[in-house]
Amino acid sequence: MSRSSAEAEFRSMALGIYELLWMKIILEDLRIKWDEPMKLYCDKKSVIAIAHNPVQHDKTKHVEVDRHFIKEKLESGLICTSYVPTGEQLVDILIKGVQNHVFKNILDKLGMKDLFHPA
Amino acid sequence: MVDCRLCETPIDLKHRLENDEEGATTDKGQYQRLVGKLIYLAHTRPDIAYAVSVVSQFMHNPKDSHLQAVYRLLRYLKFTHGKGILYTNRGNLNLECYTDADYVGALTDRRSTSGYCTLLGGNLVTWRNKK
Repeated sequence: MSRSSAEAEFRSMALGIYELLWMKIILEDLRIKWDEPMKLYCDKKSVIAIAHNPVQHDKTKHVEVDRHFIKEKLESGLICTSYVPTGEQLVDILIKGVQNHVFKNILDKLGMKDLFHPA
Repeated sequence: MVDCRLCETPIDLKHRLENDEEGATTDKGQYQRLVGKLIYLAHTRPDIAYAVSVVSQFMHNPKDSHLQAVYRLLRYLKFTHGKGILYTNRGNLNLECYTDADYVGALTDRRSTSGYCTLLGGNLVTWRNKK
């Protein structure tokens, strides 16, 4: 159970980074060189600020493992975090029920189309 | 399900699905087979990933309210049959990841849901949601 929304956010960021690292390994296996930092989008500014803050204070002590993991990857230049406004957040359909028009909009952005529709 | 009303989203905006002990019982085997098939479908359909993750939480003790949610999902699938991920060449191979969390989304046990999806060159490749 998370004690703060920041903790929940850190958890999903860490999960996202695991996935990015896996994808990087797969790309390397396919001999595709990829040196630029991978982008990690998050819709909470405070979480990004905490992850970037060089001074880690006791107020965020309870999220230690995830936070240090994210920080380590940030500092090594493997990933970079950017802010994405809630309106452009694509993950919403994976974590909650959304309204009709939001749902359609996100599916369009994810590239989900009617495959049998004559274009 | 032949002449059913179609739905445009797989799950209610503010669904209140939880373990209900008093609700009318339903055929457990039928529910589990149905949801099992939906889980299989969710491997290629990110749009129903969340709805499937919700209804599969009640596999051990399904009630009528949960079965209604599954029927709603089926009505959505009927509305969107043939939908799938189309991979197109957008001329780059950028790796991107979107993450978000729903803090204390579950009402009864107050657990959070986290989710992410990764895009390779603008195409969706992996996604996950986890309560």
